[in-house]
Amino acid sequence: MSSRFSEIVIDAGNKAYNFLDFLKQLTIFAGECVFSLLRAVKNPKSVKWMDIFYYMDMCGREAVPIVSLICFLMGLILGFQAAIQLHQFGTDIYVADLVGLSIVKELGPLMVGIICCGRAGSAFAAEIGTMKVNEEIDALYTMGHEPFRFLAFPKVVAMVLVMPLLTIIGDIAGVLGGYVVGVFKLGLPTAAYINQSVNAIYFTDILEGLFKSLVFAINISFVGCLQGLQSKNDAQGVGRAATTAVVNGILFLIIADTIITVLLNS
Amino acid sequence: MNPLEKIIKVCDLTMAYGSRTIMEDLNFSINKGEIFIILGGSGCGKSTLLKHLIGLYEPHKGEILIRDKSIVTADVEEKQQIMKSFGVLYQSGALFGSLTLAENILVVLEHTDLTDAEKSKVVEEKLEIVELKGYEEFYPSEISGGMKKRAGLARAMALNPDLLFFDEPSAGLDPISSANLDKTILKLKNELGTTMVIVTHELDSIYSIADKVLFLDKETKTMCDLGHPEELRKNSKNDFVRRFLNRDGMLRQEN
Repeated sequence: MSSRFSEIVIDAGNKAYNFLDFLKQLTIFAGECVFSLLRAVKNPKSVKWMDIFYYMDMCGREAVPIVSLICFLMGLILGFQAAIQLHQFGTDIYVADLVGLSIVKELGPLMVGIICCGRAGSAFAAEIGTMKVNEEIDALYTMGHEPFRFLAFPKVVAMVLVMPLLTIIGDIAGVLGGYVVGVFKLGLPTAAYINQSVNAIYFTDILEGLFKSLVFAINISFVGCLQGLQSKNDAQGVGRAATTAVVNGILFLIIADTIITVLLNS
Repeated sequence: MNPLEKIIKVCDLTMAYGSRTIMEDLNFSINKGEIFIILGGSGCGKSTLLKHLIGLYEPHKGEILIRDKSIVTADVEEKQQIMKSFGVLYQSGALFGSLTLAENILVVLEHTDLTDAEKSKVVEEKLEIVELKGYEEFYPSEISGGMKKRAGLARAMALNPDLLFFDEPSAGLDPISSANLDKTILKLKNELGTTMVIVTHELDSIYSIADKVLFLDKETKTMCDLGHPEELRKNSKNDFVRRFLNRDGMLRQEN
């Protein structure tokens, strides 16, 4: 019994230590990113622009259909749930307010973040992990290249550039989902629904969502790249790195979302 | 060039993974222009020693000097400068899968002041040396394992380093490809005076190219012999070394 208890305590201690070590590595990673950014501003030629465009395409353009579909359905679900409640009080028109604000301020960036975490975060971890298995990271290092600048920087920049755009697309799709419920189920006039939405959503609400998407972009690319660099040198290690990138990515994403929401709305 | 100039010095090196000691008290030096082979049984730490020599792993104890500069205590920038002064051919070739062969070589030339035309010329020259001219636009997935090794060698030679490291260059190659690689290695030594440190198991390669062989012993966890392969085969006092180098003869006797 006591040995089982000590095992649990040791396991918990190890997990806590690993988590703190991961946070430490993330902080170092952030420092390297700022350093790389300063150097990129100083010497734009050193930036691998083609790589940035490649990852923008992979993480941005290719994600548009799934982001649009999920956010549209999210808006639709929200609209339906709201319609049932609001219809009882004869306040159907407020479906536009509820869907619009929820999507723009919260669910749009969050859903886009989770989709990108599943797509890009795992892809980054698997790509870098496989490179590690193939000794490509060692090769980079011995060529005098910093793996971060060469591998992670283009991914971070690409994510920071495409996530806000994806969030705007997700917001539009989500509001459209609410519009379908408002107009086709509740029978609201199109002009009235649009007018209500425009009046409900302030520019600062859109900015709040976009700010969140920027933070999520940094979070997803950092966690994905770091898990890849820390993966073990075998196939299982790469698989585990990809899984952990998604799980940790979503965990940090929700934590960041909570902090931003509390800070901006208190 | 002073032929006895020591290009690498290893002093009291102890290598360990956590609390597990791999090798201890390694002391040897490598002369300029020499082909130096690291040999030993499977899992004794040959590749680990190579990774210590090129600065990828930090030793548990001891010192490694490359051209009298410590790669152990060097700061990040100094280490990068030391690393840029040598080339490494990894066991798998370690080519970047998303880049063509030409682009793989261009990655090494990124830090240089060469013009684009000069860089293209270097790519062409290096691929010609390893007999891969015409494969510039091929991706690593489109060529064979032997070709990947040769492309990796072309990349390692891109900056004309006078020191090259090879991790099992013949592994997975057919005897002809392996012999061709040996010829390239000898050509580099004879024509350019390149110093080469090679981890290999191939006895044919060892007898045809080695100037000096370092034997690592898994049992005693230290180096057990050092010298020319022919001399060691005849005169080594270490039973393991003699058996290793006489492997063919022993099999015939047993039969």
